[in-house]
Amino acid sequence: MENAVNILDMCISNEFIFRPVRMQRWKSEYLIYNILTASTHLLDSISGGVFNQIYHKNISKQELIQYMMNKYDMSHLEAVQYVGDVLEKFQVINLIEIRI
Amino acid sequence: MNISSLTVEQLKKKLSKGLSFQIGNFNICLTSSIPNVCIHIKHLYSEYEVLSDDVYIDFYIELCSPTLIRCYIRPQVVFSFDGYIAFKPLPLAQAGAMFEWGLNWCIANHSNQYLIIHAAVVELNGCAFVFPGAPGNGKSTLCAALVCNGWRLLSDEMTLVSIEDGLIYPVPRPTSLKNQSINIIKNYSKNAVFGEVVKDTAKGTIGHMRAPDNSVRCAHKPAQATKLIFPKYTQGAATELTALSKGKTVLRAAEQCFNYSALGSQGFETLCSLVGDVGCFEFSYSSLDEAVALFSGIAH
Repeated sequence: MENAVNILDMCISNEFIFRPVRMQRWKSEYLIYNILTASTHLLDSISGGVFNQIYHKNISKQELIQYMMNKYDMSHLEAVQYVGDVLEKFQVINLIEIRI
Repeated sequence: MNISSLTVEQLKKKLSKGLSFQIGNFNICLTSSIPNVCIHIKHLYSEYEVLSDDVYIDFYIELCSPTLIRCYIRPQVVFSFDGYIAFKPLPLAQAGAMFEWGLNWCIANHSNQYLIIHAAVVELNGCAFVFPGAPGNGKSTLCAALVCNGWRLLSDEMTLVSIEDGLIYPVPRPTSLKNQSINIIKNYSKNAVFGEVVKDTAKGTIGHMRAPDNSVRCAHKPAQATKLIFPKYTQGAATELTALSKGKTVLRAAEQCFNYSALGSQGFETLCSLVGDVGCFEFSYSSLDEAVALFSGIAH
């Protein structure tokens, strides 16, 4: 996906509701364009990777914590903290909604 | 037939009924009986092609006095587009500048077949360099200096990126220079030809530098962008070109677009495609000679 915009339509997983977005990745940068708000967001490689994971792999928050522990050698506490923060950020910028 | 082949009297007569001419992909019909407008067109648009009466016109523009009394007392000029008056009147001396500003508005608001970036774009040896920038960053001064050194002018003000093919379509028009930049460029090059310099506008003193004849003749020829560079003039600054990441470039360029939001995801895709294909940089400078040498070296 070096120079082609990835089209992600609105979808719903068990835990998240995703907004329809366009995504472009360049090495360590992810650009996300929210079609509903017409806003563009620049994510670093880790948070962009998280967004990619939950969107494409439809994984739960618990699975995401495990993924972060494995991939980035985080402790459980660090992973919980990071995933909580990043999901909150995605909510604030209206990329996802967390289902209750 | 070009405007240069018309005598002043013929041009006046044409303008009073509607002079149709072509700028890049746009056909303009300009109507005005104001002498300043005639002089502006004669000086700065002489190489543009006069169109016949039966062609499709994109923008019908009229510059006239708002009221009869304003022909005589503190004379003013008003700009209308398809009969719609978009702006408040300006002093008559600013009629030429008002044509330029009004035409910018027409293109920026009615050309959504392009992603329109507030950027100068010039080309040499097939390398088109795009210089986006907020007013005051030295974009037009840098553009004028490059053009005076043989670069082709595609646009001083608006970079038109086709949504369809990603190429940049020229709209070569006079380069708008402000305040000290006018004398800097006049002193910089004997090739620079200016129209009437107008003082006390909302932007300060304004001078328009004529587009090179060759750029006007190549106005049908689109170009492929190779560099996207954010210039910043700072007095005493060293000439420095610094790489910028593509993500940050998209965000900064999007801020300089006229219709990025209006185009929705098409705007995002077009901008990502443009940025993906080019080298992205920030550029600080204070010496035009060094800047021109650097960019000419890269283009060669």
